[in-house]
Amino acid sequence: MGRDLMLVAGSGRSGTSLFASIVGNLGFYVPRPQVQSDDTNPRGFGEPQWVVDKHSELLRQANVQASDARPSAWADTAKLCLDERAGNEIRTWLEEQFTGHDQVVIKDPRLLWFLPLWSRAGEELGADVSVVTMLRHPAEVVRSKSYWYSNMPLTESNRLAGWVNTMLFTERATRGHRRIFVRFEDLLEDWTQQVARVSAQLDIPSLVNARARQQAAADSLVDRSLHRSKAGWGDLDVPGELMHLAERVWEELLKLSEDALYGDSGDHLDRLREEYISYYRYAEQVAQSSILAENRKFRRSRRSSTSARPSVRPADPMILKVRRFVPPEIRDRIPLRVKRAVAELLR
Amino acid sequence: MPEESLQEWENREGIEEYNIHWNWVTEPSTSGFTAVLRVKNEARSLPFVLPGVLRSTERVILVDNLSTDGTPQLARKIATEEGLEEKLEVLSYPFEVSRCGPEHLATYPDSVHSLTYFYNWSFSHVRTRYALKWDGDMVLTPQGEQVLQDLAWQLEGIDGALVISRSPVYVESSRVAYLDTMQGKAEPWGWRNSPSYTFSKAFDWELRLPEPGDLIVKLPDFVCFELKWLDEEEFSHWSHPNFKPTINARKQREWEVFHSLREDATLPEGVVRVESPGNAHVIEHLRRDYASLRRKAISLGREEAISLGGR
Repeated sequence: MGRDLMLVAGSGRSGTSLFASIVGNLGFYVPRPQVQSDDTNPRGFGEPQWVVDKHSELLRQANVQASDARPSAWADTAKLCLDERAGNEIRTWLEEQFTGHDQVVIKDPRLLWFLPLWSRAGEELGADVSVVTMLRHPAEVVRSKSYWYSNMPLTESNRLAGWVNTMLFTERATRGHRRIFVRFEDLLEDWTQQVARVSAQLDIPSLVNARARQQAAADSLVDRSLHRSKAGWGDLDVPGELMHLAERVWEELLKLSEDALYGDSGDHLDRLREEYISYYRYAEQVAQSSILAENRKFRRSRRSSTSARPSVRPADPMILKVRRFVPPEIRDRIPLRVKRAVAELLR
Repeated sequence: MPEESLQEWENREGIEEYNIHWNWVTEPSTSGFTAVLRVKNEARSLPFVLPGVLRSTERVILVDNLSTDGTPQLARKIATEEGLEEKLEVLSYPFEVSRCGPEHLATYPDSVHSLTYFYNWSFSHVRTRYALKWDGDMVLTPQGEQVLQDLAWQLEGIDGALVISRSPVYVESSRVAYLDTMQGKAEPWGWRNSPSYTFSKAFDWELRLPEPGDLIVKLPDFVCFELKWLDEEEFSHWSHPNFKPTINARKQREWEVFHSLREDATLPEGVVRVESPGNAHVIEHLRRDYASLRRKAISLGREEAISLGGR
């Protein structure tokens, strides 16, 4: 059997954990250690801790948030997708996971920002790479996130915009690759039909040939009560235009889950992406006064904290004299606090 | 000035047929990259270059400048064989263009003989959101193809610019080539198709630098390599070989390695001999395995690296 790398993408709170855990019981290896389960996901996340840590570090580096609504955020993470050091780290780690396991599944809600990086690493290691994107109605996703992640100061409108941005670009990122879209609700209703569809469409026969005990273990993960957050647009405080756009994106993605060939041209989704980029640009422009006011506040607070610090006063003749005796390459290596202390001594 | 008049540029010779009509894209668009290849007698390299570029971009514009080796006809044939003929547009630019260096310096930028005018005319045919400069001797690797396909959507939400540092590969025969692993300076190769991005004249050649505030994306070294045929005059597009060390260090290095390999002297430092296994052409072998081969060559010590290909 050759190597298989399955990447489970999609917005958080869309059943990505459930799907990864199911295939994790049907022969795919979920790298360990995994993120511990908690109240938000009592049956486990199916997320390797290393992947979560690496993605979090890369997102911090790119100044991108996991459900970032900015279309420009894709360019920020693109730079990291092309970073050879990040690529080498991921390839090396993945190679270790393939030692002793031919089939590996990687899931993390942040994964969608780095799909090109993982695909390249998988291909370089000789694996067949496939992407499973989980779908859940955006109103339910936003409602569920607002409930479970209430500590994060994000509005429902921003969460919805984040869903539109991440789903539109995840679809684009996976176009032309081995991929499948799975609806969370369908998975809860009858997981066996959905996994059989994944097995056939992605050409991974081992999924449906799993042993009875493995199938029973997978079945034990599925619980209708997982479908906690039933919500409609009426429950959300979001602008009508964004809601209409999200609904159209949802309808197009649903067609992809029903008919694998539908999205081949991708024209509808391309137009929706253009529409969203334009919508977001105007939203930023409308909110420009708030952004400028925040910037002014930030600059003022920085200025006041800078002026509170003791200054080095480089114009002092004694300091300048001593400074001349220290070569620039050595000067650069001396920490600022040491320079300040020496300056004070010389005064 | 109305935008319509900015979009049409005339040449000092008054040849209306070759006036420049820009097709800028200023609205949000998912139209991706158009690769523009300005070529002269590249029939030898094109079979290794064109298929990858056709596969990974939205459109390819090949501007032929007085080739005598059937380059435009071959380009059409390759596109047809790849089943991608609808992506290729072949144009002819029938003017002698000044060579880089003093000849270029002496030519006015609005002359049809100027490199600056030639580049602006060539890029004015781009109708997608991004323009990608590509040379007739630059070979994309499979990973490079995927990188370009991805960047088309990754850069939709912002004005980005691509810079690439490509390594030269000196081809000795169909079996043997030499890869220079010393990293050159990254140069701009891709930018937005909008009024802010046109070519200006510099002392030695044309110039197109990223705009302040542009997000600069540096493509990894495994994306592509550049062919240099050891049995050809590789520096004929220069009017003199006295490269300025400050700005032409890359050319200077290429000139030295090229002549060192041609004269069969000792292998210069950083250069690795590559021999194709089996019947595959060495360029195809390199194209396929360039990423891993380059990684291996760099990680090895000098002596080991030299013997990578068995010299």
